[in-house]
Amino acid sequence: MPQRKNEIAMRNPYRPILTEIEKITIENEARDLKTFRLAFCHAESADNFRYECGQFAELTIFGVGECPIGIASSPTDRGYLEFTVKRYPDGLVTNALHNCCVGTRIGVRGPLGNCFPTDRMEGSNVVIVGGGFAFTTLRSTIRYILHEKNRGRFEKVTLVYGARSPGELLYKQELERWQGRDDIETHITVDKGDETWTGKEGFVPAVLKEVAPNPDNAIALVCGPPIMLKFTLPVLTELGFGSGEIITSLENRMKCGIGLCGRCNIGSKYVCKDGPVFTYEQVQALPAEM
Amino acid sequence: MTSAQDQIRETAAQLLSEGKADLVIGFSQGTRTMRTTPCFVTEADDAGQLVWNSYCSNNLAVYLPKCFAPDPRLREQEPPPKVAIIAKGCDGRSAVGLITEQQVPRENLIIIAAPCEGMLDADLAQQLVGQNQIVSAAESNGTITVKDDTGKETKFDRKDLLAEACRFCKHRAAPVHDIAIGELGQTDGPLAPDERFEEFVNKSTAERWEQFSGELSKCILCNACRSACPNCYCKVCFADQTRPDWTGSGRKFSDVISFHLGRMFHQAGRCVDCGACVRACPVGIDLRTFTYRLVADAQELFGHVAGLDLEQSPALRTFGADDSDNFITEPE
Amino acid sequence: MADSKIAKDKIPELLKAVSADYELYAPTAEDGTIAFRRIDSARQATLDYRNTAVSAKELFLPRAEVVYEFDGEKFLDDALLDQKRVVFGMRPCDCRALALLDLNFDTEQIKDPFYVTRRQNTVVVALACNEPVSSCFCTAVGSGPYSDQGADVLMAEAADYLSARAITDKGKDFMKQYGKLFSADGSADWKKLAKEAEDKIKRKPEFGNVKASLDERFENDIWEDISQKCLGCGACSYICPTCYCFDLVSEKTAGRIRKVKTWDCCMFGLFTLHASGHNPRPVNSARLRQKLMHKFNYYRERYGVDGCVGCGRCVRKCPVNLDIREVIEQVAAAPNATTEE
Repeated sequence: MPQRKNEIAMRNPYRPILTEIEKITIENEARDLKTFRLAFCHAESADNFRYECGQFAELTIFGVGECPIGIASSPTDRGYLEFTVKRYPDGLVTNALHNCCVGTRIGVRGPLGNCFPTDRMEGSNVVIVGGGFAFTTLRSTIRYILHEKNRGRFEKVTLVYGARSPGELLYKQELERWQGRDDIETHITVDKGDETWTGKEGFVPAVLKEVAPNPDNAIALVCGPPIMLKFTLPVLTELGFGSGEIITSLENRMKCGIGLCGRCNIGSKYVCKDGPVFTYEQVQALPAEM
Repeated sequence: MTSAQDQIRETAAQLLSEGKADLVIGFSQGTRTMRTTPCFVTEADDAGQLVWNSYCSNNLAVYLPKCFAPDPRLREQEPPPKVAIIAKGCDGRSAVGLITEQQVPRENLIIIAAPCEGMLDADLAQQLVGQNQIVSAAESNGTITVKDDTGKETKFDRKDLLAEACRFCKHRAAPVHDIAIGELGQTDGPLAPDERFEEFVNKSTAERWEQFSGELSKCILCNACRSACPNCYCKVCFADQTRPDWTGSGRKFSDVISFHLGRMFHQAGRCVDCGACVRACPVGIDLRTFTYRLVADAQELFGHVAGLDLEQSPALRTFGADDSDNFITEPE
Repeated sequence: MADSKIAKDKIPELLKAVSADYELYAPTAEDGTIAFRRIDSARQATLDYRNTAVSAKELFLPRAEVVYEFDGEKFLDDALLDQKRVVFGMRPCDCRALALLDLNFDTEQIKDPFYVTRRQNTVVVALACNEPVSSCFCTAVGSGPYSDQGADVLMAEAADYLSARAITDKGKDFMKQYGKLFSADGSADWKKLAKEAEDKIKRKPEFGNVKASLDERFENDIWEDISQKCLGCGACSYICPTCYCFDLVSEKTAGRIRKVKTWDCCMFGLFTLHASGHNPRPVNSARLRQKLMHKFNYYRERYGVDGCVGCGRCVRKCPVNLDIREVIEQVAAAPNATTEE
């Protein structure tokens, strides 16, 4: 578990730090997924914001509200934070955020939650399985692992990532760069290709089954929509991954994000505080209210 | 002679065993003295749980929209149930309102009109007794004898313990019903002059504002009034909308006022003055004096009394040539 | 055991002295309800009461409070409580509730500074119960009419005096500050008085195995049955001294943006609604289950105690007489079968 870097005594945990939108990238064809690069307004907050892969932050659109978003940049990316946010038709905050332009002040509260077990993953093979726009914190993890300072600590890295269509894939330029590397085995797939698509076609669980990564000394990180998880988790189990070796990240409606307001619990676990990262074994022990 | 309670039990059992109803909504014994609790009977054998006494205060029509609303967990909805409801005047009028507002299908509802002489307010009785707890109450010939936990007995005239809304009730019997139990109460005319309301309307604007804001300053925005009201069935209440944000964060008193004014005005022509909101309010706000303004307005301005007639269109959905147009002012 | 006492006719003098040094809150009767209000020259305290309709939770967790204010460039100073306060006459159940709230808001890893400063700056003078009400069930959840948990000073009523004992250091300082009005007297037999009061609680629900029963019955038809009459109104949570769920909303006025923390309730339909439209608790039965699970299962799992002090307010005030004592027993007695597909 990561050390919580937040100061303890009487800091106001509801107050965000100030950042400014530095860059906005439209990630997908449907134009409802944008990556926001946020620069810290004060150097001190930049220094103090130490996070791990898998953590999230509450983004404040001042005067509108907050939303909890996984951190898509890697701890190795210094001086800024990146968040990839989907705009929901009924979402008050996501709509307001998507209407923001470069230069807008955004509040950030974080880093929050626990993280992917990068300590435990050291010396192991890492299998990363992502679907749709749940890929954000996995992207953070891949950037972290592939960084020259870190790559040596991990063994073989296998990525299976899929989206509905080529236009819906996130981080397209980065995917291309990863496909060109020899220290990560990439399998990018789409449910249905188009005229220009030359890559794989097929659902993520099916492609994963084909790739059949070796479970020995391996940890699998899996993030995706419920339907993808429903079919992917059994594949990993069949391949021989123990439920303690399959790691996933859960979502829930949140407000405080710090385990105080009582909103995001699944059973006795708070997704913001005891999660969002859980092992499959822990998820199976949770009551059915997701 | 079988009592109303026995008749209700027999009727419920019969409806269920004959398959004419899937569910009977009534009252059963509560866990506290002078209280009953809403009861949902689905088996004829359980009809014996139903009670009928002076403490059957809740407006059971509040459960009707839920019986017929789609279940969000099911992809394919089940056919709507046949529901029977034990109805006083207020429950019956609320049911009529829900039918005309298309929340409840008439053909799936059996209204069983029960005899009501007004329900008693247990909290009022306790207040009159003082700090010693009432442990039992017996009713006989219009007199209520309560005993407290020191053994002391106090006698009350029934009419002195009537719930506020019941004291001024003008419609004791469900106007539209399929089955009648016992001697139904009177169906029109006031039983007692509504002094509190008359006092309110005769105040100056400043005095009325003082009373309104004074009462509502107690409000903790728990929304119990809304949840207890059969008319508040909106899937997303205006008070919960964020775009636009009608009632703000709830912090300022103006937010409290916005909520209550909005909710009260949404009752215009619909409120049956059952008092469910007052009963539910945990801090004892006298909402009735204000909601009754909207009830009286509907009668004065549009000749409309809610819940008496299935053929009657909702007041604010109808435009009649005779409608008052005194809000149209001459340009200066 | 008590160690000092004060004559009842000296209480007004004590309260006058306290209100000169502190902001004093005590039960007062106004508009037919008894609630904790600020005592000043115009307002009298009343100690002749069983319990208030709404708990004194408001004094520590206000219904709505500003947790930060932003003017577009910088944050303004936090509005933390800095006055010293005394809450006088709180019942042991309500005091214990504060101890339960501490478990959530005052932890090693994270503290809510607004709540913590209120707790730090307030002396809680409790008044033990000699006359529990029929809806009380404090003894079933690890509390009791003479419990001192969460209190700084505990007092108990006799015929013409109140006996008193300091529980915490803060309480000792308080007793020293007003020592002139008290006399040393250890004769009051609190153990006997506590037993007498406990014996007056007639309905003693059996909550010993509740957590285990709830664990086994998450998916069970019983939840549909018991929640049928529940209106989902939230009155129970708002008057409950241990319910603390809150919402964070933005308030925007000219030049100022405020983040407001307000009471919320897990029984409300929108509580867990996702922006995507998905709701993990889409029906009332799921929400009532959450309420009971939180209080009698999850709180025990996290902290080893029930999240309920048995004050009975929810029993008294529920508009449909949904009685938590009855409901817990019904769940525990439900056949242990999962919901049919």
